[in-house]
Amino acid sequence: MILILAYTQMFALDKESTLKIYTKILSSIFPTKKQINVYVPNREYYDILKSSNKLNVVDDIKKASIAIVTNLKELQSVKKLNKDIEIFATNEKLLFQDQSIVGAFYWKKGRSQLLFIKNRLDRYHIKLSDEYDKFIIEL
Amino acid sequence: MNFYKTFLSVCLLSFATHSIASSEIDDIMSEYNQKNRFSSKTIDENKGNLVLYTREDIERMHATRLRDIFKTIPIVYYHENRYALPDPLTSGMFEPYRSSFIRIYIDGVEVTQGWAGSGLVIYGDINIDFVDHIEFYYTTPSYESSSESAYVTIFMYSKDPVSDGDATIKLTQGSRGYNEQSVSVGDKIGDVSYMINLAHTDAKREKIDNGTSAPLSRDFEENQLFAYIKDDREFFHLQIIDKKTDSFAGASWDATPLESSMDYLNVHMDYGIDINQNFKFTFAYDWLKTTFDHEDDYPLMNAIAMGAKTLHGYSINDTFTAELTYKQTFDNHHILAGIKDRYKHLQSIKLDGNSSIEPDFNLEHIISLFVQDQYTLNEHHLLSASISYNYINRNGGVSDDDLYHFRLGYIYNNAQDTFKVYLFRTQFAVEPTMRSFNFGNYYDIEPQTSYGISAEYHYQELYKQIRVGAIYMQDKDSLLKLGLSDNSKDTRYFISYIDGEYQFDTDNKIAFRIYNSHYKNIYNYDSLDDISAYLSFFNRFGKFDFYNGFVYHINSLDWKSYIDWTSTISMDINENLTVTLKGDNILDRAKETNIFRFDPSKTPEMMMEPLHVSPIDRMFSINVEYRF
Repeated sequence: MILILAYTQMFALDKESTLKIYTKILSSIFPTKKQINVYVPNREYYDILKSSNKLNVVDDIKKASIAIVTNLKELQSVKKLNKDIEIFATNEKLLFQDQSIVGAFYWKKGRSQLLFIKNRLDRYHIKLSDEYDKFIIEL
Repeated sequence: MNFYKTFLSVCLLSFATHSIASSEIDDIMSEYNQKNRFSSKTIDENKGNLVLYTREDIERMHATRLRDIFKTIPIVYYHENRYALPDPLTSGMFEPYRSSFIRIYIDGVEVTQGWAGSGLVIYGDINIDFVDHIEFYYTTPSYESSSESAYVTIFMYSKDPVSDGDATIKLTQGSRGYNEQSVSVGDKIGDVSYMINLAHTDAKREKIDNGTSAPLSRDFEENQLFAYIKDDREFFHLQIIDKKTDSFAGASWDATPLESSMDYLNVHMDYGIDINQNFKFTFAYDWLKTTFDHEDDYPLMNAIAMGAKTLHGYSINDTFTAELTYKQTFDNHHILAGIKDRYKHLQSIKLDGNSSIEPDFNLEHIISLFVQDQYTLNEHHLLSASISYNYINRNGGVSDDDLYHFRLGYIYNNAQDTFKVYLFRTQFAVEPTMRSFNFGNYYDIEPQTSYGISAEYHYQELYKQIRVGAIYMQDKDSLLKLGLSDNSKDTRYFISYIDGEYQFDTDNKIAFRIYNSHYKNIYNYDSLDDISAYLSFFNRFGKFDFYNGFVYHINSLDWKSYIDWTSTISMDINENLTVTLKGDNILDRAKETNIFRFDPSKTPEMMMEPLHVSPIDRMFSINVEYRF
């Protein structure tokens, strides 16, 4: 389609590709689940992920298998509501700051980056397939 | 060094890195990169013929100045004139500035330098640490983005604090004592985003032998501030550049100045607001103080020196631009209309000793009206028609101009293919610097009228793309002649190009561009053929990132081959710290410009052997980047 966009629309996420990448990542974390319950406090991600057939965006964190956080405020809020939940981040800084985050998908130097921390995956008994080997680091 | 062995080694190293086929997660990440990078949101297919440098390209090339990017673009290459100013259209002769028809925009607002016209004169080689991505458009772009007639329009877009929220410090140390430092901070608080970038450059550049014991210097020291604050409806930018330069050959006819320096203090600020869904208003102010110190043992060439051997003083000029645009969609018609008012003022030229020059011609007032209709036939086909009128009023007895422009376009677009064709008529008026500071005093010059057609086909898949195109243009009353009033023959251009990119996976890609240009009656040449190519390799092994870029030039003046090889090796020490080693123009064979010289001691004056000068220094550097 021809792109005729106003300046104010510049920072929105592309819905289709964002949904695709999060469906892929979360399906790989929970390979046996047909439906994955996700808690997403961020409005933009909430609106995108709720249109998924595979992901079930829930409002009650107690029903969620994993939470996706985009900033420190959301992280603190999620941990207050459920300190044991698995957390995935969209921010590199949070990944290295907080031990409860298993991985992150974020934007750095103009391209997307995916990173998982090995001992945190082990803690939650997450076994990712071989295609993720280059995205797993040990701390 | 044997170039061919080096080139072969780089190719083999590059291909050796991507023996592993991409996985499903690689494919999905690549698609995400393409659709979510900032440039995918600013590119408008109807803007014209695009050469794009994404944020990822700029990062992996470790480009720190616009010159690092500009030197790789085709047709209109990066060059500097005899004052060491960015001037890609320079003839190498004695004109003050040629490249007024290369326009430069930051976040959608044009940066101008009043009397020189384009902001390229200062911004053509700025530190680009604040830049996310750069778009180069050839010929007249869509009025959606620019209503100025141009050969090339450069759009730079600043970084977004949502994805670049961290603070960054970059330190560079290079050959000859070259050093550069920059710091960036930005954030989004509620709906308001801000960014501040400060950069300091102490550029120790290669000296050029002019046959005397005092070689020509192009060193400069520059302090640069870029800042913005914006929300969904309004934005405000502030840019300040303070640049102290050794101005190379300067105003010396034989390029042997006793003193040659120019200092620039520039302020640009702009404010924009979406008044409602239909109306947008932008105001921009540009201010430039130029302090000059020229001395030679023969009379200087600068028109304002009036035969003197020394010229010390300063001039100030400023430009006000206000623009109101209206957008509306009626059925399948996407209408854009606008009015722009630009007012350029050259304040008096102060000379040392409290004297001053008060030129009669010191005001230029431009009113522009434009309207564009983009008609969508269906989701794949778009027709566009644009028309604009400029009225340029000048004081001091200098003639006024009425300029008319139109552009007709057709675009076919589907998921993989894009075909576009444009038919255009554009008029260019000589900017004031060329009229009043030229030794010929070209006060009354006919505007150049250009007619052209361009066509381009682009095919794109997830990991590969290829583009072929051609442009034909013909100039009546061409301004690309040595004598601006030489309208004896039309200047003609025929340009064809092919470029492509193949991405092996998320970390490895190869890209190429090949351009062939044929000109008739350009400058003082009856015919000129020019071929250029750019081949680049981007590779990553674990924590190491590699970039190798080769820029090739050859033209019919002497069929001499020029090759500029840039290479970087970068290592991520940890998630916050990156160290990079870089070599620019490693083979010391980058494209050169002829800087012509007269011998003023002879009567009549005799042409001397021109200086052959490359604007790209050979330099090796180390760069440290820390994010926190």
